[in-house]
Amino acid sequence: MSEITEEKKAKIVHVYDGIEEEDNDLPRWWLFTLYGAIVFAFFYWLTFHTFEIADLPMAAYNKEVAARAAQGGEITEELLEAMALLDDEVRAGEGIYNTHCVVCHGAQGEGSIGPNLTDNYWIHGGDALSIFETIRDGVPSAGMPNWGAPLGTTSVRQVTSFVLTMRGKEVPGKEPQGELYQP
Amino acid sequence: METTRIQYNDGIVRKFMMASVAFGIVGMLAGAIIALQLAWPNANIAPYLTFGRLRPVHTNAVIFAFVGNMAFAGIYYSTQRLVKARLASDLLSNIHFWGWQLIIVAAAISLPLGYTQSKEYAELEWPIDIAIAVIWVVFAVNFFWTLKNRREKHLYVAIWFYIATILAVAMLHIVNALALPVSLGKSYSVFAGVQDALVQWWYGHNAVAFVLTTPILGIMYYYVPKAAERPVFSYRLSIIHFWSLVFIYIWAGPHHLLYTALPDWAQTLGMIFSLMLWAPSWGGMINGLLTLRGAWDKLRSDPVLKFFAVGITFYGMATFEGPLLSIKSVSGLAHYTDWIVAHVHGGALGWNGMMAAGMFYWLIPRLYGVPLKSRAMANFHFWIGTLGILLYVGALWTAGITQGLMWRAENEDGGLLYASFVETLVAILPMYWMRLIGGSLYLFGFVLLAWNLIATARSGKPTDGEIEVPVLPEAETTEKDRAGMRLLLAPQVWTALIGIGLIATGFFFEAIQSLILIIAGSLLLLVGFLILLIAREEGKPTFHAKLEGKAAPFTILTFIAVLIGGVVQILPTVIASPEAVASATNTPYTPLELEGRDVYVKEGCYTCHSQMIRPFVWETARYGAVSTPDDSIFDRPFQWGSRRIGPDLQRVGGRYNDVWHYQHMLDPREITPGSTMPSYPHLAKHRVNFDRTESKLRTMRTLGVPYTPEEIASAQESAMRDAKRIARGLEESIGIRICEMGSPSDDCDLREDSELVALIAYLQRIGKHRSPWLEEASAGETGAAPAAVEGEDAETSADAADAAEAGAEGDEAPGAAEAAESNEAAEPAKADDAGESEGAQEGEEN
Repeated sequence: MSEITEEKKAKIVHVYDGIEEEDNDLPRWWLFTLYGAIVFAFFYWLTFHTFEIADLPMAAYNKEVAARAAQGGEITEELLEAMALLDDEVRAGEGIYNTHCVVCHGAQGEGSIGPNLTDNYWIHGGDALSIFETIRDGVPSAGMPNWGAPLGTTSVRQVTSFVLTMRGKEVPGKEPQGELYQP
Repeated sequence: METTRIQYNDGIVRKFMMASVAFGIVGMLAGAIIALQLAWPNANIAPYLTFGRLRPVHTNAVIFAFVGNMAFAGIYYSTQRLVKARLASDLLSNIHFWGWQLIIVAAAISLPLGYTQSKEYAELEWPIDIAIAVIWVVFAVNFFWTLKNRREKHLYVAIWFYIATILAVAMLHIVNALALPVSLGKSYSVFAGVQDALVQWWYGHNAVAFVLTTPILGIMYYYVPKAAERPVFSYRLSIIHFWSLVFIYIWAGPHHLLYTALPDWAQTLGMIFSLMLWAPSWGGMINGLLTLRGAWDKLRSDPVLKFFAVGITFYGMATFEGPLLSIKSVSGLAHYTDWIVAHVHGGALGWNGMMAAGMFYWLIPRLYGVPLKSRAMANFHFWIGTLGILLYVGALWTAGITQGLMWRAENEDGGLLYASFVETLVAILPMYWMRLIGGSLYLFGFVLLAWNLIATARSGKPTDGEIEVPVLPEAETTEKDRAGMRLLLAPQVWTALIGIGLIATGFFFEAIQSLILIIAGSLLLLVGFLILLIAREEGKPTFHAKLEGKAAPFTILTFIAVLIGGVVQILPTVIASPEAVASATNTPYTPLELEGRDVYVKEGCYTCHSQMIRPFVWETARYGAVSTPDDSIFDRPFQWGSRRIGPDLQRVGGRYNDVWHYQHMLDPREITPGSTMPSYPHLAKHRVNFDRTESKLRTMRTLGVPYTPEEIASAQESAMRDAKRIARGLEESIGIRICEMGSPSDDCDLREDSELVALIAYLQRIGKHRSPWLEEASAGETGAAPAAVEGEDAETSADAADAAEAGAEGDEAPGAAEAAESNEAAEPAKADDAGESEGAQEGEEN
């Protein structure tokens, strides 16, 4: 018993205000994490900056954007008019409309912050493709966001289908704006 | 040897301790209130007690008032005993105490009033910043003077950490607070955009390091072995983890800016140094926990050790989580979410709060000469506090990861599954209630602590420690020789410095030169390490043992260690800035936009909204083109933000019309049901003082913003003209009643000279490189149709086609197309070629 105490005393290297300090070896696993992180840092820098083997964030992003642009089908006036006749399509569009569009265009499309969608006057064209493009690209100068990026093409097509069902319903609301659309 | 009896200055320790407890409760209460506001927006009481103004009160109170005072108490108590000397000056000690408390009171008043620089944890305006610097110098003088009077030659590891704290905080605070005043309550940062972001997070991250970590590690090294009555585990470990910690920490700041417009090299440094920081941090944890070995049985009965054991464990957890979050891809998910908030509270509640409680429970019987009033209540505090942390952190981990995944979720054709931001907020609201419960439990625990401390103090009487010491301070005989300074020239020191210098230079060269420099530097470091090993002789003091005996060289070396990282990261960016301004396609804000930006800053919008779109397809799909350094080049301060409780605003300019913004600011829930944003109806009546606009522009010009003398001279006129136009536009569109510029009557819906009008002007400008108002003004001059608020009829068909085209590219390739366009649109638009610039502008903004 006394031997162990002796041994322990021998390990004490300093005493400050009664605080004893031993000098035990550093845990080996801890040294591995220290050296491991330094080695990793070294190779990470070489990979991304010295030799530029791997893509930095912006390059990786541009590649992904290009890959996505290579996909995607074509949207035509005929396709949109046809889709607007499908119940499922219109119902899906109505759901999206009620989430995102209703604030500015009103519950019945009668308009408030944005124009009335139920008359036959259209600021950016009343044909299906123009409506699709207006929703997709937005009208920055008028405060209409571009919905293509956040919603995706399918959702924009569905909203277009729903808007086409409202066209010409003449719900009383905001006064007509834009040009008369005649199919 | 002649001896004398000295009495320690423990009165100052009692004062700092009680101030820490009082302000701790205030700070945590502010935290509970803002937690409630996030879950239930009606708890915002405009204008003074909104989330945006109270959040800095919470963070500053907890960091500087609670932990700051706790650290001062712990440092002053332990330092006197570790160096066997009374604090050098009672006067300086008292100035330090009362000065610090006055600063806290000034902060608690000025922040709700809206005086803010809106840089996180550095919000206080310039007069208070100067006071902080002065009081910090008082603290430093008092501390180092005490070291000079020491009767213990060698400095214990706790003192090393205190030295690092004093030096680093002074450096960080002074550099980050550099600003040019406009008036007593308003200043503009000398740094702009990317530089400001880099300096701010160099500061912000190291406020965590040198206010919340190093002083507390020093405190751990004193109080844990004291309370456990066990020897410290390893002296060698303390040397290695001290030097690696103070050197590496400083470099890690840019991990707050991964995927932002910060240059890639700085981002990578931030990430890899954070990973290298893992082991040094855990060195502290190991030395703390292994000091408790052999004392684990005491944990059952002694609440002090319970608090310490859990505190150190949370330190280990938080310092593992930190490097994890710094890995770029993890940051991509976690940044801007509540995961970060969970992380900092793991540190603040778990490490700082528990260490503070343990220290207070240990100190109070010694400072008042009676046992703790209620050990049972301290134990209860421990359990309720621990439960509170687990609820809090668990809730916000869940919230953060949930929201991060929802932001990036895609539908089948590449659109966003949760295209409406508010859906991702509503989803985590239950977690916000849970965090409120967890935080409140923790706060309740601290109320119990306060009661326990006060009851103990009342049952005893102030007791000051005393000790028998030699008459002469040890330092009198040791500090005068030159051997100390010669230590600075030892081969170990210069090989290390040159080695680090070579590696750092290597960061800025091309492949092969870079590789050679980095390898040469690393080899030199190895040589220095070998010299250290070879120079060790049995029975003779090592290099470090000699250094510990010399306070001045030790301090100088510590300062060099904390200086290097900042110099390497910040200097190149600052030097490059004038060229960047000269080549910017961006143009300075119009006077009204600048006033609106100041409203944005004043209301603390950055506490919930970022202005930084990262290069991810799901992020550009939601917000628009990736942010560039140019976007924020005139932003003093930068407003990139760190948390998205609401959506990013980098490209909000032109996204909605003025009517939308007007109604949204009056009642956000009318436009976005489920939003938790405070309502700001009072902004419609609060007046902007346009008399000050001119001096604001002049200050900006002094800082390097290219305003012309004519623009400055006509600033007030221009701001008032634009404000009138926005207000009149709103009147025409929705028939609200307007109060004229300067009118004494408030009997209307909106003042022309209101903060709301200025704010709308700014919101419509964010992310654009040219003011939309300038576009319209020049369009008017060239005879185009005047612009209505909704703007449809002002738009020529050519522009519409341009917009559609840019948008069509943008649909599949939202960010890339626009980023490319904004780079190409390099010519700053001139007033006379309005049509052309408008076209370019449309593409850019889309």
